Amino acid sequence: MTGKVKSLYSRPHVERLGEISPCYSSLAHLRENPDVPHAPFTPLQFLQRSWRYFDGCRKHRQAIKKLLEDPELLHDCAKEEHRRHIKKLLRDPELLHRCSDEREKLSLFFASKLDLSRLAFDMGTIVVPDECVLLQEIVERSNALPGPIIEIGTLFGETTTRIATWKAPHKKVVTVDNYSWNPWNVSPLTHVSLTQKVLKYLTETGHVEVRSCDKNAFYAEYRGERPSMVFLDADHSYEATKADIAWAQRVGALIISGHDYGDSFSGVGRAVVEAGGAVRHVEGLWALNGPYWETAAGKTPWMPARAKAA
Amino acid sequence: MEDPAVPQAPFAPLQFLRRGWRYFRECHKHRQDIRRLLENPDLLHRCAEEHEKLFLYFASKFDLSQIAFDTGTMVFSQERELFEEIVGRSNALPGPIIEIGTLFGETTTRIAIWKAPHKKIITVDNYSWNPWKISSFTHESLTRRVLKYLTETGHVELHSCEKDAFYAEYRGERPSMVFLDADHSYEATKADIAWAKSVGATIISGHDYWDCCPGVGQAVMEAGGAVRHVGGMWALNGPYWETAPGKSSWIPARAKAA
Repeated sequence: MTGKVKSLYSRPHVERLGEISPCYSSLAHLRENPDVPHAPFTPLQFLQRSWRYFDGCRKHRQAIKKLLEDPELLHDCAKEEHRRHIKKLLRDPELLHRCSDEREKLSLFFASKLDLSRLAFDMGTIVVPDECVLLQEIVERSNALPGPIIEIGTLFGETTTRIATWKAPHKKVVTVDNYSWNPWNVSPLTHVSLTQKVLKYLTETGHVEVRSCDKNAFYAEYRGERPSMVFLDADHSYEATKADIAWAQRVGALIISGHDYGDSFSGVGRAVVEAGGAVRHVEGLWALNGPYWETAAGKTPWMPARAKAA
Repeated sequence: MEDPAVPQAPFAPLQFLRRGWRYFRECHKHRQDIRRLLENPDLLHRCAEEHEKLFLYFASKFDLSQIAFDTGTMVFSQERELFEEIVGRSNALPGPIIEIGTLFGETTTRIAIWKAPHKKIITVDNYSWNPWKISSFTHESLTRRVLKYLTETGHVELHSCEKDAFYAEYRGERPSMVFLDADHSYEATKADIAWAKSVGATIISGHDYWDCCPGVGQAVMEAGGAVRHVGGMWALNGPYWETAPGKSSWIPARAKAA
């Protein structure tokens, strides 16, 4: 018993505990400077309080031992500025865990001041109004060009629906997905069922053709008309984006654009720059520089990225 | 024993241990998450301030893996055939199609596929029930997503409200057709049919005329009976069917009752 008390009273422990409470600081201060007057404490009170402190330490020694494993965290948790917030989050540990898991997305959300209640439904799709404005402009440009609009990466059909809203009535949208990923963690079967439900009207009325297959298989089999526009929003790795752009160029797509040109997907940015750069880039949405933008129809007040690069 | 005049420290050590014990124990338990959030204290503060919204956000990322997509909607092909015919008939009549009970917009989408291009669909739901047991917020969000194209292009008008409130406020054109597929109790179906008649709906039809929903059958019978009833789908007898083109292929329920 004496040994344990001695150990708890030893300098490193008291100093560490001293960081988490003004009371412990006082005790540490008194230990270091027994001669300095400390008004609230009479010697008897000090002894009483010290006794209770050590008695508490003895009772909760396991907990204290654990807490002291990470003094830095303990220190932060004890800070008044954080304590109130951490307490709130600790009421629902699952929420705390998910906040921690999705902290990058949440940081972006808090920075952009979007409506959080919509975030879950918009995740993985175009959410920023400026992106929508640019996509609408690109779709409307493609309306004047021959050929279908090809979207790589259907997800739940949100962007497909937007494109269908803006496209000319005669224009067809072909959308491709292998349903290997979705932000809601639903099974591929549920994913495809839900997407079919969302796009049911558009597919039944012939506006949209849904292709449930791997994009590479689609690329290999595509024998259709030269696309007026290809929109790339599937695998955002450098290699995949490079291959997607190469295919779009090979089939003679007049407008090539895509999503997720951001820091989180640096592979997209690199592939776009290597393929000629972005003629326009708003948030995550990009349109690739190319011959179309040199033509009269493609002339735009935008400053071409190619010129900028030069 | 202690002098009451002596000012007390904010926490006595033991009190502090007791009060702080749970807090720090929880901090320790969730140290990985807290440590990661503490890398950006501002984010931690915002997460705590908006924890209710965040809860909603995470809750709406539901798992649909076990969900049957057809629950609560028309599943039988005979029902769909009858419904298509009724929508086709309403295309020749003036006024919108009003659907009471949107659910996830499955039937609304069917109506939109079959309706004439000029015809408008008005669909009403309060999102109080769904077979997938997802929150009202998620239910509405999902329905809005399913019907997004149709609402943005003006084919469908979505009303998120109580049907009784909609009934009280409706000042629109006489509907060509009212389709009832919301509350299937006797009282509610009776009130729905009464409203449809009061606004002069030319065709009144609905769903869930099953043995398991006896209220629907009872209300339909009291209102004149079903001119046609296939699966759970029904079309109410009424003046339209006396003069309706092609009515001969059906045996009017009114005649059957007689």
